[in-house]
Amino acid sequence: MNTMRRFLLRLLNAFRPEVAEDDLAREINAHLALLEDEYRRRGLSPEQATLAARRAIGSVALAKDRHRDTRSIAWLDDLRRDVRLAARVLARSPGFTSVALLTLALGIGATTAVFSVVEGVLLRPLPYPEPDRLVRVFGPPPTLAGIDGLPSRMIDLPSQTFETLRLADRAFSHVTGYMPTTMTLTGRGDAVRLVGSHVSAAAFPMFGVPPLIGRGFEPKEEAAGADAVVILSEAAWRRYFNADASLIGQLIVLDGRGESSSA
Amino acid sequence: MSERVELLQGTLDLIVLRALSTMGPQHAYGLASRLEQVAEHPLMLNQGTLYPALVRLEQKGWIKGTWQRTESNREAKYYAITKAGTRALDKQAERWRRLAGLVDKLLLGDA
Repeated sequence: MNTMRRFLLRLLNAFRPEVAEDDLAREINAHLALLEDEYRRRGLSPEQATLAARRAIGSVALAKDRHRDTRSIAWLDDLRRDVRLAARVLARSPGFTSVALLTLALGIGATTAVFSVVEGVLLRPLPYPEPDRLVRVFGPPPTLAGIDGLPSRMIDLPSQTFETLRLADRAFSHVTGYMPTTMTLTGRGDAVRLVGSHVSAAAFPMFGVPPLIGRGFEPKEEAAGADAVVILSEAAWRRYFNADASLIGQLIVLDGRGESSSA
Repeated sequence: MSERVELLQGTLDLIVLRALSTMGPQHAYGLASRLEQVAEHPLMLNQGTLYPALVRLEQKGWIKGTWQRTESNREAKYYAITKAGTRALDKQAERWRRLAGLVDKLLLGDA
């Protein structure tokens, strides 16, 4: 308890030395005065008394130094003094200082920006349970046409490969195929272009993210020709559908086709 | 022939605490001269070496310093022992006695 108290007080004295310094000077002067009185009482002349007093106290500078070391944290004290000196020297050559500061600012800013991107894209784990178990499987470079009929910039897997992977249920707990897509929503005010993805039914269990309301996809809905079913993102639901909970099971029109919203 | 006795580190704190406990509030000068009187030995103390001990004890909360006037109407900082200081004094004194006893035994005992 008192070590903590002592530590905090020492910290305070390291950052605000003036208080203790003034008090100490006052105390030492008072001490000297008392000593002088005593020596004068013993019959010495004023000058002799002063000398004797100083001798009795020993080196004042040394006493102050020792006091400073005890009451404060030595290296912090030195650090503070060095920083003050550096600031004074730098202030004397503003040209150099501003160039140096500018360089530092640019360097730090650029590094921070780069790191932020790297951290977000590469280092931060995906916000799903056990993200280190999530794997993305690539195919060979595309020679096939992509969604728009143009050479695909995404690396697609032929659906054969996907089916094969799906059968390897001892290697993978879930296998999901996905194909990004955009669709136009009409029939609800202005037409809106929505960004989304075709996914297998296994997607929601795999990511451990159950829909807020409604249900996920069912495997039978993967069959071609099954009722087109849509799961809306919460943002889209709030923005374009007024967070209407009764939307489940209703039809919405995407790309001119009716799809029933399941969540 | 009197020699100057060197104080072991840490014992100065104990001595100051004890002195303040028995003599009541003192300022640094009073403390130093009374210590010399009682010890009957010139302690290896410049009066200035009391200051680190005083600040250490004050920071631990074992003594408290207040500015007051002496009889000769000089100002001086008087130090008084606190309740925590009294408790600490008992503990430290006990520890010292035990240590001293142990060292005595080791020095005087059969090698």
